[in-house]
Formats: sequence, structure tokens, C-alpha cells
Amino acid sequence: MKRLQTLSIAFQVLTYVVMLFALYAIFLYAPVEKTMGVIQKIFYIHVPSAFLAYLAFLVTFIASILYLIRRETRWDTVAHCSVEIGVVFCTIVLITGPIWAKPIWNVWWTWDPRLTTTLILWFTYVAYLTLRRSVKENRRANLSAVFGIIGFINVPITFFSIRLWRTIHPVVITGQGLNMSRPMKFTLMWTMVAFCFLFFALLVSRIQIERLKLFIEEVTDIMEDMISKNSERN
Amino acid sequence: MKFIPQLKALVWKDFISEFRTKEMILFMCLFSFLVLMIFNFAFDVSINANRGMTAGLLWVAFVFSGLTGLGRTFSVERDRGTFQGLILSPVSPWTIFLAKLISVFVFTTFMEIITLFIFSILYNTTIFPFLVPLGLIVFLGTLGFTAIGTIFSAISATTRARDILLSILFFPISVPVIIASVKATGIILNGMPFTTVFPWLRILVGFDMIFLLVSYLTFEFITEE
Amino acid sequence: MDNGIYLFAAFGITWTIIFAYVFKLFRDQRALGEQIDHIKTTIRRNIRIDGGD
Repeated sequence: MKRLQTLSIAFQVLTYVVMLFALYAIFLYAPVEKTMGVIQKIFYIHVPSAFLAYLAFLVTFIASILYLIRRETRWDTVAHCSVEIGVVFCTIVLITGPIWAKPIWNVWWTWDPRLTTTLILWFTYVAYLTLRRSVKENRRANLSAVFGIIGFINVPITFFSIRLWRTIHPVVITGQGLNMSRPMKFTLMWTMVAFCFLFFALLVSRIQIERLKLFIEEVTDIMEDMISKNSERN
Repeated sequence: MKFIPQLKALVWKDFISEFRTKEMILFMCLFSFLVLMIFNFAFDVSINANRGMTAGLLWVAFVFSGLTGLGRTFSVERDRGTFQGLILSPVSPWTIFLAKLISVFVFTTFMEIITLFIFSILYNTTIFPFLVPLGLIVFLGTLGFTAIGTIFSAISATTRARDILLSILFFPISVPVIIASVKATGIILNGMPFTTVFPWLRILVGFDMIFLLVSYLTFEFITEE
Repeated sequence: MDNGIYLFAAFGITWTIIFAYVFKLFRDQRALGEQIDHIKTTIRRNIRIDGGD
């Protein structure tokens, strides 16, 4: 636990520091984009959040496989906590996307392959969490791990099928290119790093809490056994 | 090779228990008939104007009706208390999965054939000129969604809210199958050349193979306690 | 600059979501702390009972 504790504090401090720099970069350093105006700056939250949403599910995928191979509870804990935080970032993507799209292209939603796949990803995450709430403890880890694996494998397949679907229909919006000026690229990189630290800070904290929860449950069980044995004796 | 006789026995068991009551097939066909009818009121489906929409209608009927059957494959075992017996028998989990998949697939295909028949009557259209390519697409698509449905049916059979959980787990994962099947069916029903269907067929075949492989690797974890 | 409201909304909602989650973690931690205290008092009480044996 000690190692996790120092890691947690380190990530939190780093997050605050780098995030402050990132905010400075976003508002005071990066130039205002010509065609879109100020609102383009949403991009600096939207892109890192999307990247982290997918990274979180990748973490879950790997942790699920490791759990099924090794049967160690901690991998199940990592998988579960990563999904929770992934939902947070996925929600941010799905909200900032439409907020950006409305003033620029005058539509709230587009069935753009990337945004749609992210929506499906969100549903898959939520299904994972629903699954965890519905099954009993003795099978929860196994079933969640299987679903974590299936859900992740489904993501590239979904993306390609939606992209194929969209290329046949008239596409309202084409994807934005990455032809950004140097300061913008630099700002994006900085924000990306800040959000990565945020992700790890949240993940480590959440894992700590989950481990503490499991530990307390164990101790409570032992204690209740002890008390009932004592009351039998007395 | 005990695999084949074990598989045959399990599949036959499901067939026999279904033929006794015919409950599942009857309900599935009735439900898909209802879906076809409701769609007529919900959307003004003028057949000759919009063939793409009829493809969607067909697959909505197939999938929603199929889900009722899928929900039952493992839950009846749980309810009757035969699930434990199944797990404890010297049959590999993959064989159990495959047996369930085959029986659900056959029942669902039967329901789909009836649905196509009713569809051609209700909407005054004939599908005979397209029978072979349509059959291929329906086969691949049905295999895809029944495969994932069987896995998730096994997962959700132990829970209380099993049908809802099955739907919640099923729909996000089934998106590629539904997109590919609907698009391919629409192309076929519009009379376009078969080669235009190939990209969608590739997705369907890829999906089927990937998820059959995944189920082979993971099903034992679903059945163990 | 009327697009600024959208920018504000986006950043505002993002930070609200993140802080709401951090707050949830904080509350969970506090609840766990209370459970630990409860366990401590129960153990102490039982040690007293056992000690009286």
C-alpha cells in the first residue's frame, strides 16, 4: 500500500502542476484559430479525453486478460476502476463534441465514425458497470473480465463497419485535419500530458479506495465470525 | 473423439425439449409477426419506394425476436435446475456453448424463414429472385448475433434482471453485425450486383470468426463458479 | 465572440464532471474511514469482554 500511496500523491501533484501549465497554454499561448474562433479551444479537452477513454478500455482489456490467466483479485480491481474512469472521460468527449459541433456546423450530432464509435464505447462501458452490479460476488470478476475482453475487441470492428456505412452515405462533416501551427501542436501535447496525469491520478486513487473497500469487507467478515464465536462461548 | 457424439446429444436434448412444448418457436414467430405489423403503423413503409428501410425492418424483427429465444437458452436451464448437471457432466464448456448455439441458431433461422414469408405477404413483395444471396447474408448475420447472444445469455442467466441485462450487453456489441446485415440485405433487395455486397460480407465473416474464437477461449470462465 | 458561451459551457461541464468524480472518491474514502473506526471500536469492546474472561 505504501508504494501506491506515494505514487498517488506524486500523480496528483504532477496533475495540478501540468494542468495549470496546460490551461495557461490553452488560453494565453495558443493562437485563436482563424475560421472557428475561440471555440476551437474545446479541441484541447476533446482530443485528450477521447484518447484517454480508449486508453482506459485498453487497460481494462489487458487487466481482464491478466485476471483470467492469473486469477489475482488486483487485476479485477484495476479493470473495474479503469472502466469507471473511462466512463468519465467518455462522457466528457460525448458532451464536448456536440457543444463544439453546434456553433461550427449547426448540428448537435453527426454520425461520424469516430464519434459514433465513442458512443458505442460509452454504452459498452455502462453495460460493463451494469453487469458488475447485477451478478453475485463469486462470479463477478470472471464475467466482467470476459465482457471487458469482448467489448474491447468489438471496438475496431465497430469503427470499420461504421466507417464503411458512412462512406456510402453523403457525409455532412469531414474530419478535421491536423494541420495546426506549432504553438497549437505544442499546446495539444501539453494538454495531452496533463490529462494523462489526471487519468493516472484518478485511477490510482480509485484503485486505492477499492482495495481498502475489499480489505475492510474481509476484516468485517472475520470480525463477525469472531463475535459470533465469542457470543456462543459466553 | 467424444466431441461429436456429445455435441449431437446436447443439441438433440434441446430439440426434443422444444418439440414437446413448441413454446419458444411459437412465441418467436408471433413476436416477429407483431413487429412487422407495428412497423407498418409506425413508419409508412411504402415497399417499392424504399427497399433500404425494409431491410432494416426485417433485421429488427429478426434480432428482437431472436433475443427472446436467446434469453431463454440458458435461463430455462437455470430455472429447471439442470444447469449444474450440465456443467458437472464430462463435457467441455465449449461443447455446451456450441450445442446451445446450434439449437438457438436453428430455431432462430426457422423463425426467420417464417418471418420472410409473412413479410412477403404483408408487404406484397416477393423475395424469390434473391433467395440465395439473401440466404447467405441471413445465415452469416444470424450466426453472428446468436453467437454473441448465447455468450451473453450464459452471462446474464444467473442474474435477476436477466432479459434486460442481456439486451444491455447485447446491443452495443451487436452493432457491426446489424449494420453489415442491414446494408447487405438492402443492397440485395434493391437488385444490385452481388459484388457490391462483398465489403459487408467480409465484416460479417470476420465478426463471426472472431467471436467464435473469443467464445472458445473464454466460455469456460463463464461457467465456472 | 458569441461562440464564447459554448467554450465556457464545454470547459465548465468538463471540470464539473471531473470534480464531481473526485468528490465522489472523497466521499467514498470518508465512508471507508468511518467503517474502519467502527471496526476499531468493535475490536476494542471485544478485547474488553475477552479480557474479562
